[in-house]
Amino acid sequence: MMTRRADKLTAAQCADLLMRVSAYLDGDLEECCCRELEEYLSSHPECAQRCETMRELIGLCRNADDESHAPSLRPEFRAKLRRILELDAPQNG
Amino acid sequence: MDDHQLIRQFKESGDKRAFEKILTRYESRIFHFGFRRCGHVQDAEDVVQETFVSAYRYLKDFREESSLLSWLLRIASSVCIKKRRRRKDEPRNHESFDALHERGGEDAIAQTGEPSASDLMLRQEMTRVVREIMAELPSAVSTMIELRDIEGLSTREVADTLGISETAAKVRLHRARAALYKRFTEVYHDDTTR
Repeated sequence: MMTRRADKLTAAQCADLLMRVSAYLDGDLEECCCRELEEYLSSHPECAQRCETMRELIGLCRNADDESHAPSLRPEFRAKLRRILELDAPQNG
Repeated sequence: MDDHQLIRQFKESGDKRAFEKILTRYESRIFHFGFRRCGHVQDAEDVVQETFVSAYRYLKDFREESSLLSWLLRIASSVCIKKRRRRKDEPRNHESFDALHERGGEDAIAQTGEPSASDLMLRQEMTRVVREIMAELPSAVSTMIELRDIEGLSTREVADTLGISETAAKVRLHRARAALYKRFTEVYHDDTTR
């Protein structure tokens, strides 16, 4: 699977590696495959860097739900929606 | 009251107060989901309206085989897909790699120590770029990352939201992240991919 020592990966090999790394970071990779991946990364520093970049990228995604800089629901819209649904006026907050 | 109790109350007596509580509980979350997916406040409001109008109409038939949130997100996802198909692509501006590099972009990606103010700004910038890339990726791809990594749903919940098996959800998620990585490194011309 990843036994060939290669300095450059083909696009398909890169995509496959990235999928394995993603699964590895989520704990979705079988134990034997984890060991194989870890051994591979330990001897392929460029690929190890890809792994770290993927880890950071997932971290960025998880921070992307920070809504402190995002717009908020307008009170007028909330009131309008409740009129449409024939509900009581929204509570503040 | 938890979601199940509110759903039961609505189903048993059509109690609008129960639905109002559901609306209040989830409207902001659906709004932010819609805003991230569509990129426009007006579209995000439309997503909220269409989602909860549908929810109001069909909640009596909801069998709670998934969580209420998963169900609402499934409706919202469908609305967002339609919106994105109708909305024309708009040019998006990415900061050049050179400009980012001058701010220590490469090092910041691998940095794990206490972030400085500039590091935090850089992460905010990169998060913004991630959002923009997500908006460009095919819906089927970005939805996986949106639900799992941004909304924080479990793989099981993602599978429920999309009506697929958990195994399929995992495979699609890992493919989606690989696609995001590829696009992200294209934007920043990361030399490690060459």
